Amino acid sequence: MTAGEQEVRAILLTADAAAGEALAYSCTRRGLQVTLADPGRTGSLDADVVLVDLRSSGAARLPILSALSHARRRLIALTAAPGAVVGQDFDTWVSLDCSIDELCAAIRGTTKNRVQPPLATDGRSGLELLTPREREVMTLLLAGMRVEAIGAQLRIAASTVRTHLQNILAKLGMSSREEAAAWALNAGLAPAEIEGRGGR
Amino acid sequence: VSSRIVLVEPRRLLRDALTEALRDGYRLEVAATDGDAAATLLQIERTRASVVVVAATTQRDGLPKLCERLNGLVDPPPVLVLDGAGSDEMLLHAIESGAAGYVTGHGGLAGIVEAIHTIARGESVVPPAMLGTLLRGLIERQREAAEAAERLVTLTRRELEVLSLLVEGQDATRIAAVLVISPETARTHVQRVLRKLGVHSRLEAMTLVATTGLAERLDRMVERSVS
Repeated sequence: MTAGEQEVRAILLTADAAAGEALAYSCTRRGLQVTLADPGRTGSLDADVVLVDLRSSGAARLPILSALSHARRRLIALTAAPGAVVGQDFDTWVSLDCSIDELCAAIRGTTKNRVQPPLATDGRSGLELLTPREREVMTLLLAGMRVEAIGAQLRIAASTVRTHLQNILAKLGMSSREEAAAWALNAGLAPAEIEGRGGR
Repeated sequence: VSSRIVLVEPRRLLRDALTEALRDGYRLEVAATDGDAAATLLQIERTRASVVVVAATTQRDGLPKLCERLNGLVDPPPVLVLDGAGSDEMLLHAIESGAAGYVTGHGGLAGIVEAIHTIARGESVVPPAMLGTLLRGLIERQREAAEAAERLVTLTRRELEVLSLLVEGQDATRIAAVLVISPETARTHVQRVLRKLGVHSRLEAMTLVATTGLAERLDRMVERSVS
C-alpha cells in the first residue's frame, strides 16, 4: 500500500471459513481491510465492497443479495464460472483462477471487469451446454429431490445420477450442486413438478 | 512440531491464498501444485512432505490415482482431503480412495492445521458429525460386495473361466478360442454367467466385478479350479 492511499474496506461472504480466512489474510497483507461474514447472516454489512463466494449455498445468499443490490456498495462475485452471475446484480466478478493481486485490484476498483457473462452474450442461456438427460436431472434437483429419488424417478442407478451431476459441474466449471442449481434457475430452467410428492 | 505439506488445489486464487496463510500465518512449509499428478509426485518426493493436502475440487479420479501412486513410494505421506463446502459423498469418495483424513472449511484455517498435525502423527481425521453417514455408506458398499461374492460362488469352474475372460474384455469368439469350445457354447456360458450374477450386460458384469473388489477373488477362484 502506498502512503496516503485510502483503505478500502471489504466484507467477504462465504460458507468456506478456511478459504475465506486465507483470502482475507492475503488481501490484508496487501493493504486491504477484508473481514469475513457467513452468507446466512443478516446483520449490518458496513463496507465499501461486498465479495460473495458463489460456491456457497445458493439458497442462503439470495436474500442477502436482494438486500445488498439496493445499497450503494460495490458487489463482487467470486466464482469458478462467470456463467453463474447471469442476471444477478453484481458490479463485477473475479475468477477463482486469478491471482491474489488481481483480486485486490478488483476490490480497489482499479479494474473494470464488468459483468458480461460469456454464456449470455450471444443470446443463449448456456443451458444448451447440457444434454437433455442432464437438463432432466437438473430440473429434478431443482425440485429438491435427492440423488436416490432422482434415480428412482428416471429409473436409473443413483451412481448414474451422480455421474450426470459430476458431468454437469465439469461443463459449468462449478464445484457444488448448489452453485449449479442457482445458475440453472438464473438461466431459466424450472424445477420439475413431481406428482404425488410427499405421498410416495 | 513443524509439518511439511504439499497442497494440491486446482484453483489458483485459493491455492495462492492458502499457501500464504498456512506458510506465513501458521509456519507450515508449503509446496503447492495445481493437481497435475506427475508434478505433484515430484514435489512430494523432493520436499519429503509429511502430509499431502488435496482439495476436493481436484479432478474426480485424480484423488484415487494419486493415492495409488503414493503407495508406490517408500514411506508415503498420508493424504488429507480438504472439502471447503463439505459433503457426505465427497467424504465417502475420499476414504474409499485411500485418504487418511477429511476436513471441511467450516473450522477455518485452524481446523485444517489441526487436521494436518493429527494425520502427520499417523492418526485419521473425520468430522465427528459426519461419521454416522460415512459408516452407513461404507457398510452399504460392503454389503453390495458381499452379495456379489455370494453370487460368484454359484458359478461353475467353466463359468468362472468365462467370467474372468469377460472381465478382460474378450468377446464370445475369443473366449471360445481360448477355452477351445464352440462359439455357440461360449455364448451360452456368457448368458448363464450374466443371469447368475443378476446383470443384464457384459459391461455391467465388468463393472460389478470391478466396483465390488471381486477381481482378485475371481483370479484366485480360477487359479484354484484350474490347478
